[in-house]
Amino acid sequence: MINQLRTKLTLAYGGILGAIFLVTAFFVFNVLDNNARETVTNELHAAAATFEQIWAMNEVNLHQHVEIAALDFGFREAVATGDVPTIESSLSNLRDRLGVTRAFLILPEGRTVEAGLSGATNTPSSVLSTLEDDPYAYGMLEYKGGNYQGVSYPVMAPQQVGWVIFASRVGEGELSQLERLSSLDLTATIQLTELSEVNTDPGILTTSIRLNGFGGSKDAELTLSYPLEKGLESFREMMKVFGLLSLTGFSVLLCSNWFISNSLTNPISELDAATWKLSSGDSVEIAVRTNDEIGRLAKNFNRMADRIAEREAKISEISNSDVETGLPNRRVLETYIADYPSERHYCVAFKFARYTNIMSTVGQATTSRLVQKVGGRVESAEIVLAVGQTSSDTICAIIEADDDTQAYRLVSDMLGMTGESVKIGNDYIDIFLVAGIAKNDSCENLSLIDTANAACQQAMAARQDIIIFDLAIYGDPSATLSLMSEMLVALTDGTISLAYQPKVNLRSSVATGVEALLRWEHPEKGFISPDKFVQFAEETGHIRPLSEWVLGQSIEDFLCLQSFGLDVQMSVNLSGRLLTDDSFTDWSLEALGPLAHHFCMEITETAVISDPDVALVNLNKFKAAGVDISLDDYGAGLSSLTYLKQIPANELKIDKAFIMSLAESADDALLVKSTIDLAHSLGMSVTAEGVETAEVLAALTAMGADVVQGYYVCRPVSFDKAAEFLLKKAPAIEPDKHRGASNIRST
Amino acid sequence: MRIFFFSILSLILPLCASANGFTVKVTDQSGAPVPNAVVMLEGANGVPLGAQQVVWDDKMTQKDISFIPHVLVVPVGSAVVFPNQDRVRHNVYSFSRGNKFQLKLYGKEESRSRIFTKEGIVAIGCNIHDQMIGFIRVVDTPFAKVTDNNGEVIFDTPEAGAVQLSGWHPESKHKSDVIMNAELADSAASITLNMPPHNKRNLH
Repeated sequence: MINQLRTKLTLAYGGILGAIFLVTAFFVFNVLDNNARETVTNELHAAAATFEQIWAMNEVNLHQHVEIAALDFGFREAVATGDVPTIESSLSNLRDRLGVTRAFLILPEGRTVEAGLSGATNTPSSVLSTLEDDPYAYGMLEYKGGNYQGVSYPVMAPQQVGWVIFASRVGEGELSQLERLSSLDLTATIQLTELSEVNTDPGILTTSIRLNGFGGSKDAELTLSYPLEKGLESFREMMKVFGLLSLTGFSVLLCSNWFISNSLTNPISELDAATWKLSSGDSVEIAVRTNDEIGRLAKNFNRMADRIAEREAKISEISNSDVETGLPNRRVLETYIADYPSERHYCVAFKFARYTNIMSTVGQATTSRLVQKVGGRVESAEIVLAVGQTSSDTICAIIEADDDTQAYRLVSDMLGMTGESVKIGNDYIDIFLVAGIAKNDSCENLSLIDTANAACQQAMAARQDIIIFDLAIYGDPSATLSLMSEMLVALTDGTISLAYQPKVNLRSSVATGVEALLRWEHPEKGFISPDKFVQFAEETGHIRPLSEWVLGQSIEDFLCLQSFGLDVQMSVNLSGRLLTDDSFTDWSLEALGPLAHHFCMEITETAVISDPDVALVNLNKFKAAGVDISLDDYGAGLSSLTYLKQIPANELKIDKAFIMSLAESADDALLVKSTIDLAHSLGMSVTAEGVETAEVLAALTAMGADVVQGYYVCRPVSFDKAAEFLLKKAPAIEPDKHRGASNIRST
Repeated sequence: MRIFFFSILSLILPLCASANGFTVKVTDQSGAPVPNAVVMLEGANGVPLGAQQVVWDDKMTQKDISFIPHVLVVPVGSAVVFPNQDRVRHNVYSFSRGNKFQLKLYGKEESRSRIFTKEGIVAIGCNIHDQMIGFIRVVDTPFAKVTDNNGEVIFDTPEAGAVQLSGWHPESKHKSDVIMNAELADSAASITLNMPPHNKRNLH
């Protein structure tokens, strides 16, 4: 395949010119050949005509001579009287005088007298019979191996007494004379023949004259031949010159064609190469040499290349930066990570806490400037290798560190500088940044950036400033994908169950209640922490069916305990999400019915904070129906006195974190003591969780706590075991004292 | 020519009157009558046949540049006259063996004569008119005649006897006379001569 324009052009023109030359050469040759043929043929015909004329003249001549001889009276007498010597001498005389080759007298009896030969010889019978048939015979006479033009005449004295024949030789000598007559060097041959043989050699041109045989004898043919080659000789020189001219012309045209094609296609080839380079992303510029179309094309190409480069730069700028803040975006980070892989890389995600609050306060534009400024701080930090805004409230940076500890320290140092208030206009805006650190190989399912973001989430959840990504906390994210559907199944097949932890009154040492706690023993994954799947159920909207099941099951179990004759309060943890769900409150109260007096709903302060108005309405509904309210995990969250006052709680449960360190920390003891006092003063009983030692139990007793819960008393156990424990430690139902959850009873 | 025919008639008529005529018919190979043939009659084995024919024509006229008659039969020793009735002169000659002669140019109304002493064929020509040819057959038998236009001759002959017939024509292809035996009592005989085709004959 030819894929070069100039080769195509050269070949096309060369082919056309070559074809023209070939055709011309063919016609010229044809014309010359025909010309030569015609010339030779004409010459041959002329020679033949000449020969025929000579032949005819000769014949007339011979005829005249022979007639004169035959009519001579003296000769006739000699013949009639058979005077052979006289006849012979007379014939010789005539032969010499008339200049014929041979002169004969044929006698009827078959004897021949010939001039120059003494005595009579026998006449060839063919000659004799010819003469008998035609005494005036003439034509080609073959006599004794020679060819002659002969004419006969009868001798009458007065009747026929013989025939005189005069004959001229037609031999090589005579033919060569004929050959010399022509301007051509032709060859003349005479052949006795029945029919002329067809000349089959195309290279030899011939023409033939039929010479009638003597009398009726065989005709002869005179053939004039001339080789065409010789005829063409004169044209050969001309052909050579023409061929040479053609070849030279063709070569010159081919060369000039090549050069012209080159000059035409070279700029195109250049453009072709430049286009290829441009498509590969290289920058190109073509030299503009001419002012014609090709020059303009080159100029436009250059302009196009410039524009493409500009646009590419713009596109890459846009694609590599955040639209609002102009900070480098995630792509830049990703590119950096891909381009400079390192084992020492750590990714830090800085996330704005309360981002939505800031946004709703100062607006989008200011927030963007805020993020932009903070991004600039991160970027300007010496240890930062690359920066990228990965979401509206998160800025990620790549740093290098030898280990987690160093990374943590570096980030911690950086956070101080980065987290300072930002001045926008004349105002300072406080910011709170949370940092998540991730190492390259922290999590196989997440990219480094995503891992850092996940670490950020972990930090937010843990309410810490900085956290290094913890795979254990993150868990197996793929497992959570099907967790909820599995949970719904588990609720029916018994793998989710309720465990109960008894609450014991410190004064009476009597078990006054149990707290229902969720347990999920997954057939494959084993024990799944309720912290995990409850939170997940809350996030995915599955908390209500779970809560309904818990309430249903606990009611069932309570009835069972009641049937054992036990009088205990059943405490159930109520999710903050459901506190704002009026319909759930209604459903719960309906389900509880008259058992409401025996139930306690444990809630956290934070559950109320998200929507305090609705939450308080629902809490008051429970309260009104007789359900006790317990404030769970007090002290761990954002303990607010306002809410403490508003929430209609009967019980306050101090978070186990305070209780467990009670013996060691004087501060904690003080806090617990004052909290107990505060609760009591607000009319609430106090329950301490996480009681694990005798010392703690003693301390709490001293501080005036009402109820304890913890491993030291009893760990969460199955319903059967709980029932067993209760049967030993719980009071029997007393018709007059069935509401004793918060009542302090003495044993 | 007319005179020639009349003279033939005058020759034949008296013969017709004869009671004992012997007719010989000469035909060619195709059966066509051959005029101007000479028929000669001899007694078999050389026996003479009796009385000699009385009347012989001894004249060969040149008229209209031709010899009349074309063929003439004369006995040996006859003198034949060659009267010239043309306005031109003739030079009559013959190169025939034994009877060679030449009558130098002679004019109209002139006559020459020549005695033919030797039996044989005398071809007569005119030196100045090549087309003129005539024949005189010199015989030594009293019975010799030239056939008429029917190719017939009638001999007034002795009453009976075996005879030898000879036939000749100047243009026949035979090298010599055609000889055959006949019986006079049969009163008729025929001779066949091998003749050239009609178109090649000089006279018919």
